[in-house]
This record gives sequence, C-alpha cells and structure tokens, in this order.
Amino acid sequence: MKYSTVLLTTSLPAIFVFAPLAAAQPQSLTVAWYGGNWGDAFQSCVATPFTEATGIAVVPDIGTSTTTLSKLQQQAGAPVIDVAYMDGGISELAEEAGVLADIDIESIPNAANLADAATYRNGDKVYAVGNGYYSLGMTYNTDEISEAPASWDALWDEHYAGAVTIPSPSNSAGIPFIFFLNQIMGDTPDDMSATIERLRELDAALFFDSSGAASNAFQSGEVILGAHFNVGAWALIDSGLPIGFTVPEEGVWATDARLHIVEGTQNGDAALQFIDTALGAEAGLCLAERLYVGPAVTNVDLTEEVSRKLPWGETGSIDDLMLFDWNEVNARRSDLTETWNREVVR
Amino acid sequence: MAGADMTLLAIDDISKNFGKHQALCDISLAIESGEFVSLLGPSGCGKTTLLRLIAGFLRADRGTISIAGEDVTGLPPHRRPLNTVFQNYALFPHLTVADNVAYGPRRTGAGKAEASRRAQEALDLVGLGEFGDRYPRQMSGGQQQRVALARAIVNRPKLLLLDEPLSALDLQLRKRMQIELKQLQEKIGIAFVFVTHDQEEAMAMSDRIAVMNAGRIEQVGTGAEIYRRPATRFVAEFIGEASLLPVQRTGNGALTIVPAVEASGRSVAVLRPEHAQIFAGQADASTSCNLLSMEGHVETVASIGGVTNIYVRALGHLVHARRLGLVESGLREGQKVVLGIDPQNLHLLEGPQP
Amino acid sequence: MTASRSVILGLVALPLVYFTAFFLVPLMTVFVASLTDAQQGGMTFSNYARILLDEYHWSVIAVTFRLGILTTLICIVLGYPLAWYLVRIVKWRTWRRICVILLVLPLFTSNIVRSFGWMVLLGRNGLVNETLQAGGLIERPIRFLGTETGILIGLVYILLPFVVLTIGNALAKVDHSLEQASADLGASSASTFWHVTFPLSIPGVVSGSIIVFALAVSAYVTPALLSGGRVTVLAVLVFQQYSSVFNFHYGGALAITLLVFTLLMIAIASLVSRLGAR
Repeated sequence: MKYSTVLLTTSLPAIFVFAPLAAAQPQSLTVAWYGGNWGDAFQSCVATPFTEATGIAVVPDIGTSTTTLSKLQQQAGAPVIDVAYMDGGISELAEEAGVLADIDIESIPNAANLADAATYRNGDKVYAVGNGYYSLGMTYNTDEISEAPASWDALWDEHYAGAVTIPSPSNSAGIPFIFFLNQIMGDTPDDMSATIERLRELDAALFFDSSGAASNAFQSGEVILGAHFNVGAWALIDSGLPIGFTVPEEGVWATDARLHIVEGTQNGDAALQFIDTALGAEAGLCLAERLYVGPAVTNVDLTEEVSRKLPWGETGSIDDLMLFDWNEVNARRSDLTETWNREVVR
Repeated sequence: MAGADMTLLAIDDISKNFGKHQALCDISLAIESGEFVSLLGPSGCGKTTLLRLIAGFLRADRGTISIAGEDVTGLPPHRRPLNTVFQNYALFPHLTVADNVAYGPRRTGAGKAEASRRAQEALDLVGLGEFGDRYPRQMSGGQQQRVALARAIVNRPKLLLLDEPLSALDLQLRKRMQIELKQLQEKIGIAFVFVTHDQEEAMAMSDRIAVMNAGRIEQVGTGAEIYRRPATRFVAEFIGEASLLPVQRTGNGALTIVPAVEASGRSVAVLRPEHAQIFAGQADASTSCNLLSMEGHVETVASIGGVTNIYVRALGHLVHARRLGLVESGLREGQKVVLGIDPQNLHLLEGPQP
Repeated sequence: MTASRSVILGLVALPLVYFTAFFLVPLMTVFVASLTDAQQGGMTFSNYARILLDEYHWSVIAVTFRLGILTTLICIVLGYPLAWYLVRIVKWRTWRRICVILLVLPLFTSNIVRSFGWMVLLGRNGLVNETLQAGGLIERPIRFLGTETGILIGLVYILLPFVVLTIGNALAKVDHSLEQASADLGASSASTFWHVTFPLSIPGVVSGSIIVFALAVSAYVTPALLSGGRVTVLAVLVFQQYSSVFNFHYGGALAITLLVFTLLMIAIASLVSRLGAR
C-alpha cells in the first residue's frame, strides 16, 4: 500500500522506456545504482567491461538506495531490475522485505578473494556482497588546524566551537555515527544517555543531511572540523582546497556499497557474471581510483597515491573500520531520531 | 469680481501634443455658470483630450485654464473644483453604491454621518434612494450611470464634466436619459461640459455646442446657429445632412449654381435636404417665384420610416432632398425632375473653398 | 452523436484521470498510511495522538508556522513596492521585461543551488558578515546559519518572486479610471492608494500570500540547508521519517498534520480578509 504512490509515478515511465529497449536488445541486464560520480564510476569500472566481455547490455536504473528498495518492493514478483546496488543498512531492510535472491557464491570465481566481512548472510543465504567500503572520517581545514587531530575528542575542543559538523539522523550515516561515538566512549548500546549528553554539549555549526551540505560547509570555511565521508573529503582535497582527511586513533565508522541479485529475476546467470566482473581486481582498482572506496576483495594492487585516500586512511587497513550490525542500528533508528530531535537539536 | 453671469470656465490658447501628434491646437472656450455645453466631434478630434485637460488628468503644453477666476492650469485633479462622470462610469467595485457616492464628501473632510446624508440626498435626486446597499455590479447599466452621476454631483461642484456618459446605453434608455440629464442639470444649476460624438444628443441637450475637428474648435454656437449657419464645410457636413453646392453671383447679385465640372475655386453654399423641392417639370417650378431651378433625374429613393430621402443628380451634383411621409406615386428612380431651391435657404460658407 | 459524446467524455475523463492519478491517489495513500498502525496494521489514530498530544510537536508546529507567517509578511512588505515599481513606475517596457526576467530567472534554477548560495553568503566568513564587519556595524560575525533568521532570509529570497508576480498582476488589472475618479472626487494620491488602489489589489496580495505561506511551511530544502539541522520544522520531521526511519505511518500523519494546519491557516486568513473588506 505505502509504495503504490511510487508505483504510479515511477513504474509507468519505466515500462515505456525499457520495453522497447528490451525488445531491441536480445539480452540485457537492468542494474540499479546511484546517481552522480558513483553511477559514473559503476558504469565505467563495472558495466562497460562487463558488456565488452559478455555482449550483454547494461540498462542503468538510477536512484538512491532508498528509492531502489522502493522500486524492488513494488516490482516484487515481476522485477524489472536484475541487479541492485544498495548501501549497508538499506541492504538489510531489503533482505527483511524479501526482495533479494540467494547469491550462489560458489559460481562466482572472483568471490574467492572476497573478505569474510563483505559476504552478507542471512542464515545460509548470501543476500549481498560488498563492492567497496567508504568511511566517515575526521575532516579538517588545514589552514586553521595545522596538525591532524588524533582523536574524535577534538570535536569538543573549544577552539573549534561553533565550527564543527557531524551528520544528522536524516543522513544515512547519522544514526550509525551515534552508535560509533557511543562505542568509542565506552558505553553500551543499551544506554546511550552519556553519548547524547555529550552531543548536546557539541557546539556544531551544522548537522548535515546530505554529503553535499557538508562539502559546502567545509569549502566555505563555515566548518573547520568534523565528520565527513572520505569520498567527499578527497574530492575537496583534490580540487585544491586546504582540507585534510584523517583516521583518528579510535578508528572510523564505515559502511559499504553492496551488490544484490533481485528475487525472481529472469537473468540469474548474467547477474552472477555481472557480480563477478564487479568483484574483479580491475574493477576494484578502478573504483578505488575513482571513488576512493576501499576494495572488499584482497587481491587489488593499489598505488600509494590511491591507498592513502581509502576509508581507513594513510596507514590503516580494513581492521580500522568500525562496521556495525545494521540490524541493530536499524532497530534503534526511530527512537534515536526522536531523542536527537528532542535532546540534541536546540 | 464675482458677477452672477461671470465666465465660469475659461480656456485660453490651449495646445497639447502627444509625441508628434498634435491633439489640440490653440483651443479657446469660455463657459458661463449653469450653461450646458457639448463638445461634439468625430473620434480623434480632441474632445476627450480637452475634457481630461480641464479635469487635470493631462497637462497642457501651452495655455491656461481658469475656473471661477482661479488659474487651475497647474493644479492636480483633486484640487480642482469640478467633478467628472466617466465614460465607463468608473464606479469603485469594492464599495457599495452609498459608499461610492459618499466617497467625495469623505475625502473632502465630511464626517461619516454628514457624508452618508449627502450621499442619500444625491441618490434620491437620481431616483436610486433605495439602492444604497447594493454593489455596482448588481445594477443595470442605466442604474450605474445614475450612480456615477450622483457621485459626481454630491460635492455640488460648479462644473461637471461628462465623458460620453450615455454611449454605453441602448437607444431607448439613451433617449430617456438625455431628457433626465437635461432636467437634472437645470434643476441643480451646475454647468455641464458634455463630450459626445452624437450630434442629435448634442442638439437635444445643449445650450451651446462646440464642434471640434482635428484638434481645433470649428464653431461654437447654439444648435440652431450651427445647423443654419455652419461656419465651415466640416461643420455643415458633420451636423445634419447637407448638399454642398458651388455657387456664383451674377451681375445683379443673384446666386446661381455652378455645374460640377466648373466647381473648382467657387464659393460653396450649404443646402439642407428639407429645403430642396422637387417638381415634375419646369412649368411646376416656375409657379413659385425666385426659385433657382435645375433639371435632373432621380438617382435613389429611400424610405426610412416617416421620412423619404431622394437623391437627385443635377448639373453633375448629387442633391439630397427629403420629404415627410412615404414617397408619393410617380417618383421613381431614373425619372426626370426639376429641383427648386429658394436662394434664402442657401447658406454661403465664408472664404473660397477647395 | 455517440462519437462526439465519447470524445467529450474522453476530454472530461482525461483531466480527471490525471488529477486522480497524480493528486488524489498519492494523497489518499499518505492519508491511509497515517491511519494505519505501524505494528499491527489496523486502523488507528495513534499516529496523530503521538503528534498532537506531545508538547515537542507543538513547538515544531509553532516554529514552522512562525516562519511561514513571517516569511509571508516580509514578502508582502518587500514585494508590494517592488510590484508597484514594475507596474506603475517603470515606463520603459524593455527595462520592465528585464526586471521581470531577473525576478523569474532564479525560479528556473534549483532551490538547492540557491540555498547553497545563501549558505555561502550568510556564513561566518560570508559576504553579509564581512560587509557588516567592514562597515563597523558589528564586531563579531553574526550567526545566521542554524537560526530562524537564516531560514527566514532564505525563504523570503526564494518566495519573493511569487508575491511580486501576483501583486503586480493585480495592480496591472486596477482600472486607471478608478484612480482618476478618486482624484476627481478630491482624494490625494496617498488617499487614492489607501482607499482605491490597495483594496483593489488585495486579491493579488491574498493569492500571493497563500502561495508563499503554503510553500514556506512545506519547504524542506531551504530550512534543511540553512538551519544546518539546528532548527526543526515539520517538513524536516517528515523527511526524516520517509528518508531514514522508514515509518510512513508516523511520517504520513506528520504530513497530513502539516496539510491540515496549512489549510486551516489559509481559511482563517481568507475569512479575516473577507471580514476586513466589509
């Protein structure tokens, strides 16, 4: 019921656009992914090599993870989308909604190199595989702060009062970031009151809803210190701005973009082939170079220049990433959002 | 200085240009207290421009306008002691009829009670005493016209300007309103300057008529004067109907009519259709003495109600004659007739005519 | 006969289908969701009770509508003279067209881009603070971002064109002869404005206000960006529920609450203005 709105507005154009394409191309694979640089990178790092190798065209269906989940739910039974990229968190919700197929990991040669943590299981079923990590690290203005802050405590440093930022609950990283702070402060998830109290004390310029808002605030100098995605931070640094990105001693929270096969797809084999391409070393290198996402496969050789921009920072590794059980995070979304609204936002 | 019949409105040498277009040129006109003067002319003649200059909505390029001895040329509209009835009535749609009429007194310092008392008086005067609570849109065209009138006279101005106030009404209502308006004007004794393009309307109502053409006043006079003795060819043709005939004086001073082919450079005489007589033959024409006679033939016979218009071609001129009643037997198109004209009924226009 | 009737039926049906598909169905979907229990799925008013019996939500509603009313008032105060200038003062048509284009042009750019622009202008080191500091008016930068003032500035900037256009349209429709009649009856220019021109332009003011108010209280992008997440309006709560909490029942109830309060405010305003006109 709740998705019938989206059904009316999005599936109609989808039918009109894709029906003729499907008729013209004997075999094609519809893959849902994000817009912007992410989509561009998926196209050139995964889709194009896949089409070159197999002759199967890739039809992109662009949307955020949330939008993609909505589409999958309304298409349940007769899916148009065969393979879907969705972020950690939404991935778990999609599995809960029953729109994901079991991925036959044995028939994907490149899955052999996949890190254990990047194979997502629900019982025996593999419902998702990771295709690259990104993190929320400490980002700072190098004109104002000469030395990279060593600890997340710097957020409360009175020198930076009124000029720090962290994500708001409207951002996908908002709630997990509260979990992260809670953990590094040594509290259990059952009682977050001390963390909430510290967040109340935080003199923030901005609680950002979108990554773009954070980038904008760093760029204008409105914010000089805060949590930001490594992808966004490095984009600022690469454009020559006085910005630094660091992984403090407590580590960073991270999540990943994941690949899913849609339940009921008619193109199961092609979908597996697509995932195989995505998990290949070449694709991993390409995505790392373009998006600075950390490969989830172990056999990627990175240059020094690229590897220092990865989510775990210059000297770190995948072990520095703090990955939460999204099911735990999702279960607390509602009440933490409400607590945030009432306690933290003044 | 304030004599009873002193000039109320004095317009002296007014000129007005709109860009390169000369809308008014050296207009002078004087209007007495209580007088009803029409500005009559075809559209574009400058009559409305002149009215707007008097009201103060336009500024003259040259000349002065005085009202009751006071020079008002530089005064804005709201400081001029006159009121206007607009062509489209310009009633305030957001105010009731009573508030529309009370608007003038309210803006000029009357209290609420005083203003509404005067408004009621004015509405009673135009026969709309019962309609104060309505809004203008709830009233007919004729009623709206009366409201506009009541609103314009409520401040008891010495001078009322009316910009074709009856032109939007149908013929029947227009005739009735002409009479009512004239009666009202006489009753309240306000001088009216009345703009119209309808000569019958002007004739029926005015004490004097100023006939305007191309930014100039061609003639000012009573209706009878401008009908009988038009000053110019334009006035002769615009007021009533007329045949313009080139004439020449013979040695003994008598007038003769010159054939069309020799018309150039001659004086022109105005002949009203009711003065052109038609005879079956020369013999009949000779029975009346002193008649100028011309042979010709009937070109058109047209009956319109109680009047028959007969157009006779004689000496190359098309002469318009008119008879009361339906056309008598025997007068048909193509028939040879003799036109008889009493020279006393020929009005000679001044100066050589083109 | 039957053919033409079916054509007419089709012509009537098309907009009806369009209206149903794009307005009624989505609205009903939200409405039904708002009345559905999040856990059990039966019909319930608990989502509304959660909003209306809670002081926190009332404070958010207060902030939302305070911003909406202030935005509307400021837009009218700034927009009326601007509309007057365009319609009554500017005689040169080319210049008027340029002004209208300048006014409307921002509407064709993204709301997000314009709000980001204001983030830069209103920032601690932004143009506004730098100008004020250079002019010696203030010593320390004023905090605009993350305050209601900042949101107000952004909303006024984004919504001003709607008021100028509706008031300008109403002013252009005021018959000049009515103003002349007023002057003729002895009213000065100021008096004519207050008694004739302004009352006749009220329909434009009212429709402009309704547009601005409705857009201001439902605005998400501008408050979200300029508040820096530090001022909460109803639209932000709705967005949270739809974008990250995925509770469409509570979110739907928030959306319907916003809608009902907005309609109520508009009804009250039009009632007041109708009574005021008498």
